[in-house]
Amino acid sequence: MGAGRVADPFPNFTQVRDPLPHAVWRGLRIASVLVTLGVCALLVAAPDTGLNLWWKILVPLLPLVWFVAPGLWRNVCPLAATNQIPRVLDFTRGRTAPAWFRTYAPLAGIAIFFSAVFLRPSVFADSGAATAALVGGALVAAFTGGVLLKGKSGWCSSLCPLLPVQRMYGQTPFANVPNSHCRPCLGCTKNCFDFNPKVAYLADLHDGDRQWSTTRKLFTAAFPGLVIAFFTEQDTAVMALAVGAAAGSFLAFEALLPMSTPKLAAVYAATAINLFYWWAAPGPEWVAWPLRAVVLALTVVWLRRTFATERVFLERQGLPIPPRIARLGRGMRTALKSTAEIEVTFEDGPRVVARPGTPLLELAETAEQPIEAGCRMGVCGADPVQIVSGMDGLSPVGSDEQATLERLGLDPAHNRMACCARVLESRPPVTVSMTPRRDSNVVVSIDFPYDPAVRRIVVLGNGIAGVTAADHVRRRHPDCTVDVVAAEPHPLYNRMGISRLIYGRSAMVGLHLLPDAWYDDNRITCWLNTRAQAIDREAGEVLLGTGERLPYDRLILATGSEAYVPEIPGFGRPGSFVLRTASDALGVREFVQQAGAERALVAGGGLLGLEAAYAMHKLGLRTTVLERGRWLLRRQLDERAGGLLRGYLANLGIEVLIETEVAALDDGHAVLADESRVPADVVLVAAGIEPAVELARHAGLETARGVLVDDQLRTSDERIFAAGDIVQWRDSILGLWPVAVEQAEVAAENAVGGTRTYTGSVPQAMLKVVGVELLSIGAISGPNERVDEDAETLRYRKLVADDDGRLIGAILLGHPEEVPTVTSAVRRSLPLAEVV
Amino acid sequence: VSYFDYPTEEPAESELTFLADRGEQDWEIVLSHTETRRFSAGAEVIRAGDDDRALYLLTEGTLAVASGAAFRTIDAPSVVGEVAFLDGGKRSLTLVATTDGELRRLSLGSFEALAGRHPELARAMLFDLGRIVSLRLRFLTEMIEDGVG
Repeated sequence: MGAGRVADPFPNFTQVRDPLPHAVWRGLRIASVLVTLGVCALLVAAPDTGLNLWWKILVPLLPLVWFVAPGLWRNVCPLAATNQIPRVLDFTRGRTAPAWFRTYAPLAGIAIFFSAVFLRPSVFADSGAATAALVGGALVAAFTGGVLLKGKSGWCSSLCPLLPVQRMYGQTPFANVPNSHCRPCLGCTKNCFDFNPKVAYLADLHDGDRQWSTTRKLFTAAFPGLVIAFFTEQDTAVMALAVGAAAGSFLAFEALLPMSTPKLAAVYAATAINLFYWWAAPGPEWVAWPLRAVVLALTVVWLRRTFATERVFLERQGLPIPPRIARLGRGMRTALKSTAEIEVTFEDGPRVVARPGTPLLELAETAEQPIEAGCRMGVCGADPVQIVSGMDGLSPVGSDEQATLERLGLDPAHNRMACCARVLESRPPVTVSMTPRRDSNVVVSIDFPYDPAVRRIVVLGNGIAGVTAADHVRRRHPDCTVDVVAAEPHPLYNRMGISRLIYGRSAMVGLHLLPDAWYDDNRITCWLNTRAQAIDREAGEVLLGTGERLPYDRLILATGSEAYVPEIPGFGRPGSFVLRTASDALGVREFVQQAGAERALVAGGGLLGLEAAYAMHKLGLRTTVLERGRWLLRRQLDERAGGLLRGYLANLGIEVLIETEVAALDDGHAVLADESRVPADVVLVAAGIEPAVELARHAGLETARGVLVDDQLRTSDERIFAAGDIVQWRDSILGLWPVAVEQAEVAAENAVGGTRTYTGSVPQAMLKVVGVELLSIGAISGPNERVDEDAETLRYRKLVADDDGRLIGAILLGHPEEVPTVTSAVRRSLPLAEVV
Repeated sequence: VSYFDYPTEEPAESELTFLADRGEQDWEIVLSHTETRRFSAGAEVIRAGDDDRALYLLTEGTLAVASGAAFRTIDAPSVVGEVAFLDGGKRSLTLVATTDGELRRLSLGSFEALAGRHPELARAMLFDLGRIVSLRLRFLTEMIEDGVG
C-alpha cells in the first residue's frame, strides 16, 4: 500500500529518533555535573583562572550551542541533571506545581537573569567566590525543585533563568536532538520546550493568554539592549535605559512595520546573538573573526528557516482541530494476551491474525472481504479462493472439497474452498486472493465402462442435484448429449445465500456458483426459464413449456422442492411471502422498500426462518419469529441449545414466540393460534419444504411425499432416476445440500450404466446464523450424551453416542474450531471416550 | 491543531478513556469478538471515504492522521473510528501507520454478536462511546464560544 507519508513539521520528542543510547546521555550528564563542581572549586581556589574559564570561554559558547542544537544542551545541562536526580533515584515528591508557581516562576527566572547580568560587572566579574556561589546556588535550587515538583516543572521548565534565552535562540534548531530526560513525559508544563522544541516559542507568542505571550515577547524585545549594555556600560541606570530603549523600539517597529510579531522577534534574537559574538567571541582575533562570520552566516540561514516555520505554523492554525483521541481503559492491557497465531494476508486487503483451526471463510467474513458463504462444508462451491502463498499452512484438501474444486474447474494446487481450508499451528503465513486462479479449465473425466447405448440424458432441475448429476454424467460418459432443464431464470446459484439478497450484501451475480463457461466447457445444454410440462415415458420424451420435445435415453429428476405453506386464510395478500428462490428474496426486498414496512413476522423457526428473520432485522424491521414447537431449529438443536439461541436473539431485538403459529393474515396483522394479533407489514412463511413431485406423479411414477427410489436411486421406471430434495429414500427426505450431491453422483453413475448403491448420508448442517456458528451432525439425542455448556458466552457442546458408546451425532454451538475433529469422529463412529 | 498533547502516564485516569472502569474479564469479552489486524509502517490503515462500519482499538504502534496539512499521531492504546461506527457514515480521515503495529477491529456484525451474548456490556460500550463523542462536542462548543474555532 503505497501511501504518501506526511512528514510532521513539528514532531514532539517521542517521535524523533534519539541518536545516542540512554546510557551515553547519562554518562555525559554525570560528567557535566562533575565538571561544573570542578569549575566551582577552581573559582574558589584559583579565582583568576576560574573566572577566565567561566566568563571568557564557557559562557560565550553556550548561546551558539542553544542556537544550533538546543536539545543537546537540554540533555547535558548540569542544572537539569541535578534537577532530575530525585526523579532518577525515585525520591521526588513529584507534586504538581501550583497555579501561582506556573504563572510566576518563569517571570522570576527572567528577573533573576536580568539581575545577574546587571550585577555581573560589580559583583561577579571579579569575584570567584561570588560566581561559584551563583553557580552553586543554582545547583541547589534546581535540586530542590526536583525534590518537590514532578517532571522538569521545578526548575528546567519554570525557574531556570536561562530558559527564556534557550527558547528564543533555540526556536529553529539546526539539529533537533530529542529530550532524553523525560521517559515518560508527565505533561508537567505548558508549551513545553523539551516536548516540542520547534514550536514551543511560536506557541508562546500565539498563546491565548495575553500576559503569557506579552512577557515572552518583551523579553526578546529587550534582549539586544541587554547585550549592548552588558558589553559597553557599567552603570546600572544606563543599562536599564538601553534595555528599555530596545523594548520600545520593538513595540514601535511592531506597530509601524508590515512584519508579524514572531518575525520581528526572530530579527531581534538574530541581532542579539550577532551583537553578543561581536564582543564575546573568545580567543585571539584570528579565532574571533571567523567565529563572528560563522554566526552571521548561520543567522541568515536561521532567519529564513524561522520565517518558513512560521508560515507552516500559520497555515495549520486555521485547520480544524483533529478529534481528540480516546484512550483504552487499563483492563485492556491485562486482557490482551497473545496466543498461538498465524498471519493471513488478504491481497489488496488487511493482514489478520488467526487462531489455529480457523477456516479462511471465517477470516474473510470477519474482515468483510468480498466472499459468499453457502453450505460451509465445501460442497456448494460458493467460496473458492486462490492461495497465493503458504498452501502448507492450511489443512489438507478433503474429498468433498476436492470434488467441488473439480466441478468448478479449479486446480487444488492453487485454489481452496475457503470454508474447508483452516489455518494450522506454527506454519508460515498465508496469502489469499479472493479471485480464484483459473489457468485453464480443468475438465475431469473418469475412465468408466459406460453403456454406449445411452446416447441422450436429460436432467430436470438446475439446482445443486441437477448440476452435480449433469457433471458426473459428463465425467463418465464423454459422448452422450446432456440437457439440463430449469424453470428458474438463473444458472446454478447459492440458494443458502438468498437471504442476503434481502438486506443487500449480495447481488444476484454474487450468488452464482459456476463460471459462465461451465455449461459450454462440459458440453451441457442448459434450458433456463423453461418448464418441463410432462414426461412421456412411452416415447421417452420430456415435453417442454415452449412446445419442444426433448428425447431421452435416461432421465434424472432433480426438481427439488418448493416452500411448504400450510392453510392460512389471507396468505397471498400483498406482503405475504415464502423464501425459496432468488426471485422470492428480491420480491421481499422490493416490497419492504415500496410499502415502507416496519414490522416483520417470520412463521417458522427453522434454518431458513432464522436466516430470513436476521435479514429482516438487518433491513431495520422489528422482527418476530413464530415457532410451532417448543424450541428453535428443532431438527438441528435440542431444547436447551434452542433456548440459549432464543435468549441471544431476544438480546438482539428479535422476538421469538414458541408453541404458536399463524392462524390467519389480516390487514397489517397476523392472527395467531390463540387469537392474539401481532402487527406485521411483511409475513414470511418458512414452514419447511415440500418435494416438487407433481411432474413425477402425473407421469405415473410411484410417489409418496417424495419420489420413491430404490438403493440405486432408480424410480419405478428403470430409465428414470432421481436425486436431491425430491427423493424419498427408505422413508427419509433430508433436504440438505451434501445429501443432494451424494445422491446426484450415484444417480448419474447409474444413469450411464453403473450399479452403484446409495447407502444414506449422515445429515450435517453447518451454519452461521446471526453471528453464531453452529454445527449439527447426525443424531441430536441418544442413549449416551455428554453436554458442556457456557450460557454466558452462548457456547454449547453436546456429543451423542449409541448404547455401545460410539459417537452418532453432535451439536456444537459457538465452537467453530472443533468442527473438523467432531465431524470426523461422528463419521468414523469413534468411541465417545476417545473424543472427550 | 495542538502540538502539546502530552502522553500522560496514566491514560486510564483521563476522562477521555474508553471503558475505564471495566476490568480484565469484560475486556477479554470485547477482545474475543474482535479481529486482529497487523500493519506495517507506511500502510494506509483506514482510508477516508471507505464504507467501513467498525470500531478499531489500536493496541500497538502509532498511526498518523493526514487531513490536508493537519497532522496528529495516535499512539496505542487508543480508540479509533468511533464516529463512523456510530453513525454508519463514510470514513472521514485517512490513517497512515508510522510504525509497525496491531489493531483490533470490531465490526457492526461482531458488535451485534457481542450484544446478543452480553447486552449489559454492549450497552455500556455504546454509552461510553456516546460520552466520548459528547465530550468532544463540548470541547468544540467551548472553543467556538471562546472565539478560537
